[in-house]
Amino acid sequence: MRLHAEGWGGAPLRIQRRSEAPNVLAKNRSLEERCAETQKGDRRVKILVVDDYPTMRRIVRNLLDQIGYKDVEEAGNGAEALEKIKVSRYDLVISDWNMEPMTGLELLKEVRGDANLAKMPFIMVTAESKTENVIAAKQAGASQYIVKPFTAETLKAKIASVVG
Amino acid sequence: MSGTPTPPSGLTRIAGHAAAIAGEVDRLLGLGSVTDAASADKLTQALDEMRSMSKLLAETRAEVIGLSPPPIGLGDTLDAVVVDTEGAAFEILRQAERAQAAAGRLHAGTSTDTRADLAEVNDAATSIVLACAFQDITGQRLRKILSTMRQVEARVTTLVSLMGIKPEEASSKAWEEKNDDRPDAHLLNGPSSAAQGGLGQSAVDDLFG
Repeated sequence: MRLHAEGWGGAPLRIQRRSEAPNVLAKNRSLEERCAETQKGDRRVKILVVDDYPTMRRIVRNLLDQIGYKDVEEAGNGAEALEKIKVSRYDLVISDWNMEPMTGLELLKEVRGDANLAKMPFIMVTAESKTENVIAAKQAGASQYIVKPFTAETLKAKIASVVG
Repeated sequence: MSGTPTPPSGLTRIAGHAAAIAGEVDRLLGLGSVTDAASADKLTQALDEMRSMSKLLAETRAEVIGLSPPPIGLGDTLDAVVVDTEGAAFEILRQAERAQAAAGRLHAGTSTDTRADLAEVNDAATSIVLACAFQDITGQRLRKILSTMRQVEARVTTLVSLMGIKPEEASSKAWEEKNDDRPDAHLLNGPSSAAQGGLGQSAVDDLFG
């Protein structure tokens, strides 16, 4: 099948079906890789994304979807997250730090202080990037630490390192 | 630092001077008619001190008036920036997700109308470009806020100088303690540039081991 699409900078774009020839979009290696990962990432990892900014939660959710994690829930602060964690089982928490009334660090300490949750993977994703912050998060038991702004590759690598 | 704020030493000094002058004037008035040259000199000196005090108080008052909330409404303008940026981010995300969905259909070969899906991707990209126009509006608002903040900063600096407050007295710790009572408030610095001690991801990874 061949067709021409207009409106892409004036030049018609020739599209061929995948079965006939390499798709134009298939040349986009990262997309190809992402889709392969999506299939591979069809694993039942339940993730809780905690951030007080809905925009950030949506960005993280979108990235998680792209790399194959579909089972994602959200919380707007540490206290809300803690309530959810105590009711449902999560395989991973991805949390911002600076939130009210309960910060991400307080949430992390609560989680690590609970014998049932002590080993739950916990990734801190934050704009707090000073040495003292990283050390405090590590001492509190964070599994990984991502500095905002971050890339999809960083998120993917850190998740892989904690959930396998 | 104690919980009770100490009065700025400039104010204490002014109060001390005023008390001393008042005492001196009372003493001179108690002398009855000022006839001798020494008392007349002291009276003149006291009046000069009072004139200086009056001038200082007038200048201080003018600076305090200058610190009144500026007419542009800084809070409202910043709120508008937050609303604009959030709205633009949501629009960009919405359009990106539209494009991702169409691209996904094209890639998987499940598109029922390839031409329409390509147009969808193109249309979403155009919408993303248009949504980026928020930067112009928010940039103008932020520049206005910045200009006002600089004026306020200059006035505060002048006021601090008039009051004779020394740098070591002007601690910002009281602000931090008053404004944030979260247990890890001392660690909440917000985004930091490299010059401010902010680390990049690779440095964080090194620390995290």
